[in-house]
Amino acid sequence: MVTRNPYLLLGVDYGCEPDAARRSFARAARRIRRAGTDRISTEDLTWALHEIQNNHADPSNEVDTYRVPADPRVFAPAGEGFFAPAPTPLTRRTETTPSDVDTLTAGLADDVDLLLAEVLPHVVRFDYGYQTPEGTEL
Amino acid sequence: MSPVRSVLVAKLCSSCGRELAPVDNFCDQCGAPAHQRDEPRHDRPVTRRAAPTPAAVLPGPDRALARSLVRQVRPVPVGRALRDPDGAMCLACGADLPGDVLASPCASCGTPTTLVSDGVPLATVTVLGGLHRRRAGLRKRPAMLVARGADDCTLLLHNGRTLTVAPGDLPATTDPGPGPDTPVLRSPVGPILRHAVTGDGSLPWPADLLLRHAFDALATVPWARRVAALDLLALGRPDLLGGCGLSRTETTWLTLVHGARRGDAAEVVAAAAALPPDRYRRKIAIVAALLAQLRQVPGAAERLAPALRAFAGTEPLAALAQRALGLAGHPPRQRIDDHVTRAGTFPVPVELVHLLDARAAGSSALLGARGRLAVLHAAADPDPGLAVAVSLDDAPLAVVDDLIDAGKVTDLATVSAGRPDDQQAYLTARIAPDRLSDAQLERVGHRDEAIRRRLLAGGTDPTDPTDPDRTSPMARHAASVDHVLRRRPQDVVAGHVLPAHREVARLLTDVITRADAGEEPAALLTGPLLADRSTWLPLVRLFGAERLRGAGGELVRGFSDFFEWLDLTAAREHLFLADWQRATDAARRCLELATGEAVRDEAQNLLACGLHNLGDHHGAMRELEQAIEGSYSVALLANIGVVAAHLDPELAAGHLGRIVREGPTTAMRVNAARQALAAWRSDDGKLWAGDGSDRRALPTVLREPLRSIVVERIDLDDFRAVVAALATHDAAWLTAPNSLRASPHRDTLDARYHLAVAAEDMFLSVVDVLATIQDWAAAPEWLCTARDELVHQTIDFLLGHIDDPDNMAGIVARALVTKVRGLPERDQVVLALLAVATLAHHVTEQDEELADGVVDLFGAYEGRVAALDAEQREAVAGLRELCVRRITLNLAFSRKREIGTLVDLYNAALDVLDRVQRGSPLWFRARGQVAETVDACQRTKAQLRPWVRKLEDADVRDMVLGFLDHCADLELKAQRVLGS
Ligand SMILES: [Zn+2]
Ligand SMILES: [Zn+2]
Repeated sequence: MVTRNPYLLLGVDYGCEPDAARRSFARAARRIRRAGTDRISTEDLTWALHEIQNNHADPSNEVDTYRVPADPRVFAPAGEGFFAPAPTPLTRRTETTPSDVDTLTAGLADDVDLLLAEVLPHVVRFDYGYQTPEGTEL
Repeated sequence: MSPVRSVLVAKLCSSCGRELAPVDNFCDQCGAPAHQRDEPRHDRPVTRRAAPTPAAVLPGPDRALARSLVRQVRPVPVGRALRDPDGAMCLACGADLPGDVLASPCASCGTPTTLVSDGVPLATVTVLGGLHRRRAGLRKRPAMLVARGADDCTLLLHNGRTLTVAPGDLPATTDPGPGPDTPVLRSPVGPILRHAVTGDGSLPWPADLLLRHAFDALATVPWARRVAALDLLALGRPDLLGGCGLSRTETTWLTLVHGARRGDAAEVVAAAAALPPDRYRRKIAIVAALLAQLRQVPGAAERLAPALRAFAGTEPLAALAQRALGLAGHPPRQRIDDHVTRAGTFPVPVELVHLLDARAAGSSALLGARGRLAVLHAAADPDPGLAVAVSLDDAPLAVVDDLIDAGKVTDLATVSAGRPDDQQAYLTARIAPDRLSDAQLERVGHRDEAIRRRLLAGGTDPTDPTDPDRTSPMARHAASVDHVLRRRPQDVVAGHVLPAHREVARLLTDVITRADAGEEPAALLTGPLLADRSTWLPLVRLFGAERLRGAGGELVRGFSDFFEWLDLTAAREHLFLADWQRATDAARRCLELATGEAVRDEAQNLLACGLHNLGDHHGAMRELEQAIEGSYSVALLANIGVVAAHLDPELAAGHLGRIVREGPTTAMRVNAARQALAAWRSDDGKLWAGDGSDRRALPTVLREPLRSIVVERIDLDDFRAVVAALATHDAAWLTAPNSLRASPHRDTLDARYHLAVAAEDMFLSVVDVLATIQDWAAAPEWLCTARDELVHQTIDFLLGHIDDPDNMAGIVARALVTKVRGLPERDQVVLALLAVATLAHHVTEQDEELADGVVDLFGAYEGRVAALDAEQREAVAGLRELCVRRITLNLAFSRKREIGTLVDLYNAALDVLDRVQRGSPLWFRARGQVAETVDACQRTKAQLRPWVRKLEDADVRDMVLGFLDHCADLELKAQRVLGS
């Protein structure tokens, strides 16, 4: 005889938190009422909830209760759409001031200052200014 | 080697790496000034702005890269940076010269601009300073030529005096000439200057003396002053320029250039400030080229101010230098413009020039973190690599917002690194609102995101009626979604739906309206609707999975992923309702459509669940095994274990053994191991079963996993469960040395007990373990149970096998009662009596006499029977009688065997006494034999009499009494023989 599966009875994912199981109770009751089934009773649901709330072992390590689903992602169609719109970024709450831009510009100016200091002495010749008889400047 | 030389050797150009001549102060390959190695290089200038401290730790620009770019540039004279690049300047007074009269003397001071005036007979000029060797007294002494007239020469003698000789009387020259590393000197007095400056002490004259002669000689050839000045500069001695007779200003100018060549900023500042402010225009170009270096000289700005002011009106570089040195306001934008001016004026590498147009996003590899940020912010189309190369840590928040708005940064980690929590929350909301934590969402107050989340969580009314933002686009969209879910298509306002989803909203309202009018929902499904996967779950919720099935074949083919998902969802719904048959039907329909592994695996999992509940465990196992092929799934593996428990133990052990091997966690593996053992040992052991069937070996599929898990870090309870199984079914392995060595529980009572269970002499080993317990009240419960089990099963077994001649159980019973503390009184008494009864019986069967210990054991416990309560006394009464009988019989038989042996010897002794002479050795020995017979008879009597009194069995008593009579008879006869 196969033992009863509290998660299946409540219609929740295997291993769900006791809180989630409790919240699913009404939906499960509605489900069996709508289906008009006599396979499951409200007492079964009560038993199932009690079972989940009082099982203190970690369900992820158990091997005595059948796991449905094996892969929950398969049941949740992923994708944005009418019912799941993409998030909208918050509109900005700041305003750029001239001082902000100055801070940036100063950063660039400082960097270039250092680079020019490095480069300039090497790209010029410091001549004394005398003309040699050959016509070159020393 | 001279001391001066040694300082200068191996100087390398810091720009191009070429080795410089020791006294050269600028590189003749690239023109860079030669720096002393120990001089500090251009360090970062002290900025006047109070720089925020974090900027100091950010990476600065890549100066090495900048320097490498310089190698492609051919240096140009610094004066070309002036407004008139070809403008000339009088070197004597600093006046501007018209460009086309270069060869003419200065209009202002009359000095020529040339190095040497035309008309000087250079070819006939005598070079002074040659060394000669002249005999003075006994030795030859050095002498130097220090002057030459038309008809005579002046020699400087070794003693400092001079001597005039005719040219023909000059002694032979001994001068080896300049060394290979000395600079080329041009003036007639060059060699004297060289000896004065680089002298190594081998010549007898002090430097001062030589310089005086050089300058005296120079005074006679005024045309050579400038050449001599250049010689001094080449020798690195601008301090000696004053002796050349040039104007003070010209000397200062030369010092200024010399300082610039050496990179000596202090010398440049001092010389530039010493020149007349409004003269020497080229000093402006030099100052402009070395601004960053000059700024580090204390007081530089003030000292240079007059000169800069004098030229500010005519030279843009002068005005620029005023700003750069802090003599005029210098806002950042102006600084960039000034950089642009300088970069355009000097032959700066193009890569650097491009940097200055931030919008053009030049070679940002040159820039430091702050420069890159400026470029990223300003550039229209920045290098994509730039966003990851900048550091935004201390960028103003508004600037980060600019970057986000421009799409230039998208990585949240880059943007929010190092920022306070509230800014991190804000920036997360700006870039990736879906990544906001609930607390952050609350903090930053991003209402649209809050609404969206309520919507995704399936809240019935995702908008909060008290929310002032109910009219925001997201709030209106959420309201529209709510209308659809509540089946009120008429309430949906198209304009309230987010634009991207308006078409789907229209399709949905259409489907609902027409379905409510009686059409079949399945026939209303369309491709564009199903292409929005967010509609799938709500469609099932609105119409139920069954009513959506049966759409047109083309749609099913185009959107098979929807229809297989639909069947999968239906199958699960049926499982929820325990409708196993319809669940398996739906799962099979899904499998007909589905090709993707994830969906197929799940369909098989649901199918197996249905089959399992329908009782088809083998069928369920087939589906699960197929599903778990390929990608690994813990859930499927666990389900295999669940189903396996319903197969026969052999198969179950195999499947569960796999979980014990492959399970992702130790806990799961242990659970599987225990489940497998439970299936395996469905009937648990009778300890005294005796036929060995309880010791059947474990199947390999289970044995190996159990052997591995028993030594892992598992709970003690789990350890005990597994080791117990191994003790029973895998004893040989368990008792092998070191089997449990790796287990953290190897030294526990649990391990010792089960090793004892596995031992060859299991019962006595177990008793030895039980014997170690001092205080049973503190002992673990399982051990108490095991002890009681052993005691009771031993008692039961012995009671059932009381006439069995095997003594094993008796030995165990005796060990239990003698070694294990704290057994109940009744159990002790019963165990003791059973041990005695069994052992006595066994020994008697072996024709041996009972050891004293067994008789003593009886003695010790016989008396305790009386202390038992009436019922217990009753129960053990029979046992006690049995013990008495078996002991008595054993003792009686033992004595009979003894007397029987003695009688033969006794008879032989009588013969001897008859025949031999009284008093002979043989006679004495025979009498001894007779005396021994008397002793034996008396001992027998003494030993058996007490037992006879206890005996209740009449037959045994008669037998024993008869034997005792026989002994009495024998004893009497023997006494007589002795007495005669
Ligand atoms: Zn160089
Ligand atoms: Zn002049």
